[in-house]
Amino acid sequence: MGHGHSDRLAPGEYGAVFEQFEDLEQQNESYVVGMWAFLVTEVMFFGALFWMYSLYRWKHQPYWYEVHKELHIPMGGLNTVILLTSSFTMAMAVYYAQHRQKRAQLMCLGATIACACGFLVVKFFEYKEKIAHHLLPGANFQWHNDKVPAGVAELFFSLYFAMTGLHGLHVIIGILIIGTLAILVHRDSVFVKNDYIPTELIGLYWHFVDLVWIFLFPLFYLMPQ
Amino acid sequence: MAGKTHAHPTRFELGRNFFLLMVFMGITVFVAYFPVHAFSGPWNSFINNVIAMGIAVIKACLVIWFFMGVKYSSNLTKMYVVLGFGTFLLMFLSFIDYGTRRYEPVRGWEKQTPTALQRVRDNTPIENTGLGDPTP
Repeated sequence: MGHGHSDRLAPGEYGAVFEQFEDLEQQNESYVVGMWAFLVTEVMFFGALFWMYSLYRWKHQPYWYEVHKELHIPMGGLNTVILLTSSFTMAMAVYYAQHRQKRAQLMCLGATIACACGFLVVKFFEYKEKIAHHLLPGANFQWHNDKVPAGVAELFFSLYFAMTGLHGLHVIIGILIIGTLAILVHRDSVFVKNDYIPTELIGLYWHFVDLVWIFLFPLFYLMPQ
Repeated sequence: MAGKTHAHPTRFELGRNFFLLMVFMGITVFVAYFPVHAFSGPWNSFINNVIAMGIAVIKACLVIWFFMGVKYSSNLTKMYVVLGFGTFLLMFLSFIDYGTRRYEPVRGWEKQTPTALQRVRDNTPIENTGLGDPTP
């Protein structure tokens, strides 16, 4: 159901079984495992930042709780809802790719891109507000809360900008690759016509971006006392 | 692929998963605004953190299991997933180092003089190190 009809495809065509694989199932599994191997490297990439976050929060917990009040929970919450929704639409895009419903797949990909752009718009206004309040670490950093040393506040915002910034970069890359995929699907390109795997792999990437935000949201916005 | 009943998530599963994620999202925000007063003092914060992180882990598992289709993928893929996140958790073992720094320096681990001629005891001045006369 919904699988490439490899017996009807010419050898070497996308969606057919390439000669190094036993059958279509093994071929698809190899692709998915390869993508997961890449995602594991991404986990370690973000993992180092999560590790730093853990260390400095452990050392400065009361101060950090004080600094985190600068962040706007409704904005973070809205972004979480947007991103979870985009994950759902992406999963539906993969479903429709597997069931060869091109129009529905394109609509889901479009919805995913729209959500991703919405996420970036919210992030833009958040960043703009932080920069206006001189909370961007660097020469212009200003801190006026006497309860917290300026250095600790700057450390918090360094990690905030590094982690949300790296995540935002992944969102931008996601928009580009999902957009490229949508164009290929629209044109009936040979890469995606008989093969749902490209959609599935890009879906895996997009869900990973969602996973990172699932942890960033409670760690930065909902920090308990 | 013959013989396999649906090898992909169903639309119902995906929709249900989205609903569950939204429910957990609501719970985690609710709990953040209304602290749990099950314990007093530092335990309160601990319980709150455990709830916030626990919900995040549950949400992550839902995304991985249904949206990423790991439920329907091969055992090899599942192994990659488990080992990948497991390796990430292993990284936190390095906190053992940070947590035990206050035990440094350990008595008996002091730097020894680089000689085999005379062992230097605690609090004894270093005299004949066998390295020739000290420069005046």
